[in-house]
Amino acid sequence: MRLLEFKNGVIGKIKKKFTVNERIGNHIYYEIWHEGTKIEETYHSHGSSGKEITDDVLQKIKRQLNLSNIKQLYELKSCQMTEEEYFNILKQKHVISD
Amino acid sequence: MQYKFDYPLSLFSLGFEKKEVAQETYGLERAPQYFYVDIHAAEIAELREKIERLEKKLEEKSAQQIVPIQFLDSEKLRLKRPIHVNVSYSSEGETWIVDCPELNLYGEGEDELKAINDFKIVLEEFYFGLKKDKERLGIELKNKLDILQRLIEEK
Repeated sequence: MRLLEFKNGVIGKIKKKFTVNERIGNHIYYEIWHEGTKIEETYHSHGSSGKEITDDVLQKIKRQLNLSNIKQLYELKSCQMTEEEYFNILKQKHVISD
Repeated sequence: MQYKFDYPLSLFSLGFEKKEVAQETYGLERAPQYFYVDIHAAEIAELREKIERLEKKLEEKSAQQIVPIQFLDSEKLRLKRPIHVNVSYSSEGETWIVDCPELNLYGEGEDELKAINDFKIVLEEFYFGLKKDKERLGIELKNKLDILQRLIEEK
């Protein structure tokens, strides 16, 4: 997955349901907020938009986003997982309280 | 209908007699030729590649080391006690990765030292990112801040 795909696909999808604040430091951080609470944070290093994110780094990102496997990360990027389905995953994992 | 077939010159010169052979007979005597088209070749090649990749990952995993980080190169923070991290090499991106699952943080770099330094920067940025919103953290991030406060202190 390329940086641009991650930013537009994954973060773009999350933005449909949550508030995402971007924080720039030595890395680019994405704070994910739900109803005034910061629930998750993920990040990646700076780089060109075409830079490929390795599977090893995707493993860490999926963990930060509370996904079970990289496949789900790709599903979130594509149309296979909706923002509602992702919301339900976070609810099931008690990242979001009822 | 019959055709004449010429033997190769080498056989002919060794004393083989030149004969006329009927086409039908010639056809029956010839061994049938089969052409194998391996329709699974691409699939097999792909699976082989996947296995090789997994084997490499397994090797890398077994070469993973647990390293204690003793201090931070930070003007703002200091460690109260060492943080143990996993250091491994990723052949895919030709980078070193430092991982701390308890804090859900990672760092990466061209070599082990750069990866560790990257992790230290992430640790600091993550800590201050949580601190600024400490009253508005979800369960998971609040837990991370608690862990961090047991490990680090501000100078």
